Amino acid sequence: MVFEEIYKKYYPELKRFTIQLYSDSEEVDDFIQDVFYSLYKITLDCSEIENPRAWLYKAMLNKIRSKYKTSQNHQQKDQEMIYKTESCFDLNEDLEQKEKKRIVFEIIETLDKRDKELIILYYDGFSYSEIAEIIGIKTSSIGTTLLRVIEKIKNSLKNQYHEMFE
Amino acid sequence: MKCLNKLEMQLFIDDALSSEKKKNISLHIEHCQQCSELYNNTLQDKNLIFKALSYLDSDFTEQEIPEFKKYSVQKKSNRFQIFKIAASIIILIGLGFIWQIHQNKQMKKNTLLQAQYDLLEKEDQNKTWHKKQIDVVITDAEGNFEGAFTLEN
Repeated sequence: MVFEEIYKKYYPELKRFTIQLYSDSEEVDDFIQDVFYSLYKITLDCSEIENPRAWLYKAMLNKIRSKYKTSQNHQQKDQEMIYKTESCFDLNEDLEQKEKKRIVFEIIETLDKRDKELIILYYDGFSYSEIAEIIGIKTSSIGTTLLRVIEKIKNSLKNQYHEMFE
Repeated sequence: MKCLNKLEMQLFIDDALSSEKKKNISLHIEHCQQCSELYNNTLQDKNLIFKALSYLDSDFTEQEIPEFKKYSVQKKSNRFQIFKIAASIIILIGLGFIWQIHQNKQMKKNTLLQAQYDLLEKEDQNKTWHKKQIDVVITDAEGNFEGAFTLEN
């Protein structure tokens, strides 16, 4: 696949993935540019990437992780993210829809960083081996971790907001 | 075939098993009430999670894809290169100035030395001139002093 095709195809989902994992929306665009530029340089060298989608997600995840490592106030940023996400809700949006979104967001935020990455990648349709490659854990442990995370989210949803998600 | 546990069912639903295993499990589920229930529950859970996560997606539909700024990214690095070159030039100019100051000092020192040398030269010439004076001492055959005078130039 040509670089331009990859860019157009994966830009939206990579942006969504980045925003879901990283709070600072001002930096998100720079992150995406940097990641795509790295891929662009590779394609200029005529090197073929077997799975560009997984490559982009992995590069982005590494970028986010290293950013979190260097930034001391990510706890604060997480809180900012809740605020930002709430404030960017469409005013005309259905109140119930809004409430559901807030609930899901809060539940996801209670997860460990690794679990959050895993469930988002799972939802994005990556296979176990791709998730393992992107996150950097063994494929054999994906199933058990996933089962635990699903159980946790399910229980939070069912215990507190049973009727909303029926 | 033994009944499946939760993990095996999850792997089955997520298509993370070999095709042979999958085939066997499919056959088993068809005939096993317990596994059939587990299958439905696991699938229901997956759907619930996916439905819940889809609410987070609603902000991101139909967004515009900006043009890839490969040139501006390159420009960014070019800009950095320019900074590097500019810094090198400034350092070189600085070094040039220092060298020139040093040279000036050296030149002044040399001029001073030259002047001193010129003076010394003149003095030497004088000395040579002085040496041209010949002291003449007149003695007799036995060496007794008869008289003396100086021949000048």
